[in-house]
Amino acid sequence: MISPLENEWMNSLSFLFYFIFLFNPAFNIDTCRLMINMLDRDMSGTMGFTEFKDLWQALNAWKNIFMSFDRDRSGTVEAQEMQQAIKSLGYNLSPNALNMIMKRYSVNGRIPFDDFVSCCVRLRGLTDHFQRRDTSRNGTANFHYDDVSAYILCMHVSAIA
Amino acid sequence: MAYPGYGGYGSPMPPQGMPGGPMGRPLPNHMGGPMLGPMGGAPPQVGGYAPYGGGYPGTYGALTPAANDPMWGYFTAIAGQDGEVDAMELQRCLTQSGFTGTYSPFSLETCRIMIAMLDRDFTGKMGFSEFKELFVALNGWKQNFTMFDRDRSGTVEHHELTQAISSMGYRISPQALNAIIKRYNKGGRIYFDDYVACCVKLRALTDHFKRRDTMHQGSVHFGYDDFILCTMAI
Repeated sequence: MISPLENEWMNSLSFLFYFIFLFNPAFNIDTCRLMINMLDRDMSGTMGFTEFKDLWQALNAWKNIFMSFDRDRSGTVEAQEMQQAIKSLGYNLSPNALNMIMKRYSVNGRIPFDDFVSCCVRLRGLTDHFQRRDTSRNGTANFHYDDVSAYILCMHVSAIA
Repeated sequence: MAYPGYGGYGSPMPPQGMPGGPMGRPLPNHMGGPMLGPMGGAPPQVGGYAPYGGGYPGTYGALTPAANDPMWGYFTAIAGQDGEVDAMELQRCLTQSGFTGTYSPFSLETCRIMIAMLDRDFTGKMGFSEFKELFVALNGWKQNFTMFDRDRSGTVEHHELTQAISSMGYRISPQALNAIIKRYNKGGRIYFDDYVACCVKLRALTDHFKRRDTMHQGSVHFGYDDFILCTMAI
């Protein structure tokens, strides 16, 4: 049973940031904003408790997988390893798609933890979005230009401080 | 559901060879659709396509040999050993050239998506013709922005961005446009970097859509893999 005060606290954006920073003090604030964007469907700038719990479990899974590949504890993994990491998360993607993701998110052949999480957040959000449309679960869905534009462009996180 | 991945989505992928499920269709036939065709040469059209509108045209006039092209020297100066430009090199180039002028320099993320916008072969880098195409687009967008930024604040207002996007030929509903612009504004104003990011994403997404919407219906039936290919890159 959550008290009203706890509920309010848990619903606030600042709580999320606080929790994320506890999780990893080096966590980029932009990644936190991206998480809110991807999961903030009513554009309120906040996240409910259930969504937060789901995200927390996902973050742990992403962290564990990343760490299993980052054997030298450098805080980065090799671009190639990222493809394996994504596969081991259960995403069923073609070599072409995996290659694109690897190229898009890596810098000089390596991917830092923060960018890895950013990639996972997007992949999760986009897959969610797709799955909601694919009601017959056959791997295809119809998208109207207007709707996709809005969704994709709203994934933006400003780099301006 | 707590599980972060979506295991078993569509048919499971067999360990070798051509996967059989809807997501795993062989690439040359379905997965990428027209993406694997020779579409690198076709210039984007301004305002020609009803549901989507345009963006800025590329300069595909007479082909100058690269060596005679004034931009070639500039390109090779920043391209490095591999002869292609990556996001960091592009950021350096745009900053050093003073392209952004009095506006704040482009973020690395914006440079990444600029490359992704034209990176049709998914190398994560930009070749010379793509580089030229990008500069044409950037100049067009900058002109558009400075036209609206009359007070030279380095920002435009919500309604000005709405006008700017419409003037580029994009046909997006007012509600969608409103939601988009809300995301790009900081304190009620939109900065040049965010504005360019918006233009880049719009153009990339519109390109993807146009190539697949052969019936000009304003909608596309996506396979999951292709959807991810289009949307994760932007």
